[in-house]
Amino acid sequence: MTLGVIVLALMIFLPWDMIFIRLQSSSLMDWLDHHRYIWLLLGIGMTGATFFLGTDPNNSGVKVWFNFGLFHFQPSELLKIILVIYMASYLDQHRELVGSSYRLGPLKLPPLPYLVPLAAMWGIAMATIIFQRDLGAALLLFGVFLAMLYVATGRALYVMGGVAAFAVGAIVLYRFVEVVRDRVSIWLDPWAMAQGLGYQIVQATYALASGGVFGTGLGRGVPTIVPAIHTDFVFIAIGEELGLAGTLAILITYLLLIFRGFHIALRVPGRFRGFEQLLAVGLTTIFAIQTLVILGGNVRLIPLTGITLPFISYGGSSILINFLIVGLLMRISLGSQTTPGKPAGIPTRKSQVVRSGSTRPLTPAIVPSFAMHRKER
Amino acid sequence: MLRHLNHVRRTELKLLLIVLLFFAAGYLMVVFTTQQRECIPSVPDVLSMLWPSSLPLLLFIGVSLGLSWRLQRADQILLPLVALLAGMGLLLTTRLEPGLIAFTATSMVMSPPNNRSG
Repeated sequence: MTLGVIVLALMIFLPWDMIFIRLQSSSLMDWLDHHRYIWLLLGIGMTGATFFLGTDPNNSGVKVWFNFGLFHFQPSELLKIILVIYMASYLDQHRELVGSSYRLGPLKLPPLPYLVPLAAMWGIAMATIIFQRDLGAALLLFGVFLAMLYVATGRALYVMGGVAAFAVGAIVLYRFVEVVRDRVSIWLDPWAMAQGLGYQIVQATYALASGGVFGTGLGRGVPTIVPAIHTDFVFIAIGEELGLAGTLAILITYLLLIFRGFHIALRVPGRFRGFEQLLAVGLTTIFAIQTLVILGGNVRLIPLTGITLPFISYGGSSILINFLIVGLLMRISLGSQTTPGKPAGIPTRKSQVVRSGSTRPLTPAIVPSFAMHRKER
Repeated sequence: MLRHLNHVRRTELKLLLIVLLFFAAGYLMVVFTTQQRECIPSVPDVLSMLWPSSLPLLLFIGVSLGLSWRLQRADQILLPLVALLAGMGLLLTTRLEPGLIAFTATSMVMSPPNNRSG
């Protein structure tokens, strides 16, 4: 975790813009924006390379880790950020086109040609992950994809189409992939195989039940009976030892985090910063869907898929990537804030209006022009 | 000097201090109830108990101070929320897998989770 905080600090404090302006003659966000295909190929390549070079350090049956000697690293964690960057960049560039529709005879169609590269790239990423049986990550990417498409276009049609595609995909996977079939049957009736495959989820349910409203007290419960309690079932441990109150507190914290992320996205000023806006939305959605999927799995709302609870689960590369995401969000929020002279406290909506007028007398350097503002970041 | 004090991100700092206290209380509670080590109720002993594991949260405060020096305009709520969640994670790792805690808190964090279901 210390390493995570250090990554966060690096992300925030290093004058990335200066470095990139010198090396690439563009700022950090522009650089991320303009090199999207390189990023994407790198990410998919790394994930694909786990087929040949991946290791399986704890015999879970999936080879999705790289062994770097000192530590293990899971490239699909990185892939999710990269995919969000790619989609933000693409959707920003083609926002009007993707949002519009054209007529084919009597039918009104969405602009399919412009969705093709998007869907293709996303499909490749998904296929890589699905072939690795990393279902949690696949579900996450799917959700983020739909959310970003919806945010960029505001058309419910895409979401409905996506949900339909998801249903089809789920049925196909259920037919052909054994892991999925196992998961679904465990989800439907864990007690039928309480000593076998369903053991984990049965124990988790009992642990939650024994927690009650205020829990057994920190250190007083027996959550370690549940297998993998410190990675996939952390929420159950909270439920047993801190009770309903503790779980609600955690949920509220996540809600606030997600709310804050969307808030940052909404406050990005100007019409030409769509990339940052979409990026903030996408990164926040990663947190949101990750939390939803694993918590739903834990409390048997949806079939369990292995994914980490952001920041809480013990999972190395995931925590690191999460800190990276927070660093990016902080940087985006820098550009979205109010007058530079306002020292502390949460800037109010009122002062946001003031910014564009740039009439504050006490501010040391008011930079009305857009280019300057961007550089200053 | 006063001018600099004016730039401190107060909201963030306050929230981070609360998070630090929360973490310290929870951590001591876990250590005492699971009896991971002998407890002598004295100030230096308690502090020595807290030292290596609260390092990340102290670093968060450092990051906050750094932010108020360099970039005061970044979002102030995000960092405390993340600190709270990460502190909770550290707490639960201490509770559930005490063997991993030194590893988690102070050094590399990138080892894979055990027995992860794909």
